[in-house]
Amino acid sequence: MLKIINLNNIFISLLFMCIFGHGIVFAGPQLETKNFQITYKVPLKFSAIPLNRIHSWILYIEDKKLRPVVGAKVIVKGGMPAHNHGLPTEPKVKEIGKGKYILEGLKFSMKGEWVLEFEILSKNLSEKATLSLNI
Amino acid sequence: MPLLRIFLFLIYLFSPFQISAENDRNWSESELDLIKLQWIKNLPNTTLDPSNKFQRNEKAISFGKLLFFEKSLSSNGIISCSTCHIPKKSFTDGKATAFGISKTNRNTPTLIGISHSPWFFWDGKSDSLWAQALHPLEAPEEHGSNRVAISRIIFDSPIYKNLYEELFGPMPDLNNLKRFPLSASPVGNSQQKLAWSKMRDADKEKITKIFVNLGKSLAAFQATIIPSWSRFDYYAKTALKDGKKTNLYFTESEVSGLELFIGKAQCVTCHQGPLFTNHGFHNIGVPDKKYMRSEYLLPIFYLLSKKPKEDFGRISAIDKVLKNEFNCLGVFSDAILEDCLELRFINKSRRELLGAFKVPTLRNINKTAPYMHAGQFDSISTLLQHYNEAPSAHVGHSELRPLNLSNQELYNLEAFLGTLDSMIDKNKSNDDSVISSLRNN
Repeated sequence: MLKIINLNNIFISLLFMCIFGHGIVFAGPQLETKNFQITYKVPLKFSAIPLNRIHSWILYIEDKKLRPVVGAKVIVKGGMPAHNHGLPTEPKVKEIGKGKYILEGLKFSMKGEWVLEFEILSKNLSEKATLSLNI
Repeated sequence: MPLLRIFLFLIYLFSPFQISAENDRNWSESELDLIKLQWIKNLPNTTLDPSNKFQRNEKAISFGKLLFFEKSLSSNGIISCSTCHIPKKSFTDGKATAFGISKTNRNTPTLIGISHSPWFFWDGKSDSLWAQALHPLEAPEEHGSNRVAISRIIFDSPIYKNLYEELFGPMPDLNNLKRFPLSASPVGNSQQKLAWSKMRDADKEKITKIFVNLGKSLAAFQATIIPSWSRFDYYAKTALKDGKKTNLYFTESEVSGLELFIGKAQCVTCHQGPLFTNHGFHNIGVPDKKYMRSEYLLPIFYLLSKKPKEDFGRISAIDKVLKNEFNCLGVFSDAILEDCLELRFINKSRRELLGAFKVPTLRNINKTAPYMHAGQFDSISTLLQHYNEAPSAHVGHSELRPLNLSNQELYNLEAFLGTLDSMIDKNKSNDDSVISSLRNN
């Protein structure tokens, strides 16, 4: 489910942007859904996803033609299915650029398997996607 | 024959059985990662509270220490913070539920390492140590006083007034009884509320500011109460160096207990980090006092007695902390918006938080009985039995699953928990000589 973008993908994206003038070039892990591609990034000050600390992610949301998804409503929920509990915080997502969103208030309070459920509500598309993480 | 013996010995030495046995006596990489997470070396001296700019002020720390032991702050003159947070008992009181002016419904938690928590009280109804410190002063069953009376105690004492003004600037003239009645508070009894409503807004703010500054001083002192190294920490230091399970700090039973703690018993899931807590809120199906028949000598007493109210835990605290005038986003906080992440992104899920309580530290667990938010368990063995059986919750849904540990395993787990005793770190705590000199002035 979780796919790491490689250099070839970045090169192809760059080439794509040069030719077609759109598409987000952003290196980071990706979550692919039927209609969207979400690229996410933890701030540089953290070498990895931090434990027991509230932090933010930057999300780049594109459609399948690599066009930024503008004005989408994004809801993020999640938790630890094995322990039957949700996230210790209620994260919020807001758009900060063209297809660029900030996911604030994320916290993982223990080591183990977590899931994040993204619900993306765009103009004519809506979809749910799940990201599995081993913290 | 000697050659044969040497040959057989060499076969034994390099046999798969021998390698396997050797591996059993070493911690795996993932186990060492977990042990490292629990090690006290990962605990910072204090977690800086941006809502309290006086937290590291030496004078505020000393002033706060005096206030912590000051009985005149209570309505009957015999209760101080240290009445329930007794230093010799690891800042607890040994009672199921605390007793100030009268009986409360919650157990006294230890203060050792408390400054690292993002939430305070068993249900987290305060989001800072200073906001927490203010609550008991006006709670009828704890100090039972009010903010005007408490401000006047400081104003009327030359020592306290001098210390206060050195830190926070001049106090208003509280001798003016028309402006500042003897007793008034927005959260007190009806007379106190009436008196408060008659005060000018500017005077209300002056009094509340004094009250807040006292809370920030109390918090500054409490933030210096840091645990020192326990036997577990010395064990962890050696084990992290050589990877071996056996060293001089632990018995075999304690090693087995640690294996269970980070493994089969899953304690480390929530009791994670150098204070053995992830500071989260979880429902573990602790029996509510209302339903505990075992509290009564005879069943008839249970039937006839007035039952305590059901305690819904964290879910009841969400609204309180969001509306609390002393929260991180309030006017008395020194924090900026970006500092108040816990409050801004507070979890409000009813399904999660109904019957959930804060995960307590396990450091000094041997010295802090009884256990849980209302002292439901009087010993570690009854506490572990609860985890082992994982009964369903009276309120909400328990996250526990039965562990099916044997008696020997429970014994080992208890033995390990006994290695978490430690003293307070004197190097990081407030110097007693400073307090003595203040008292002598």
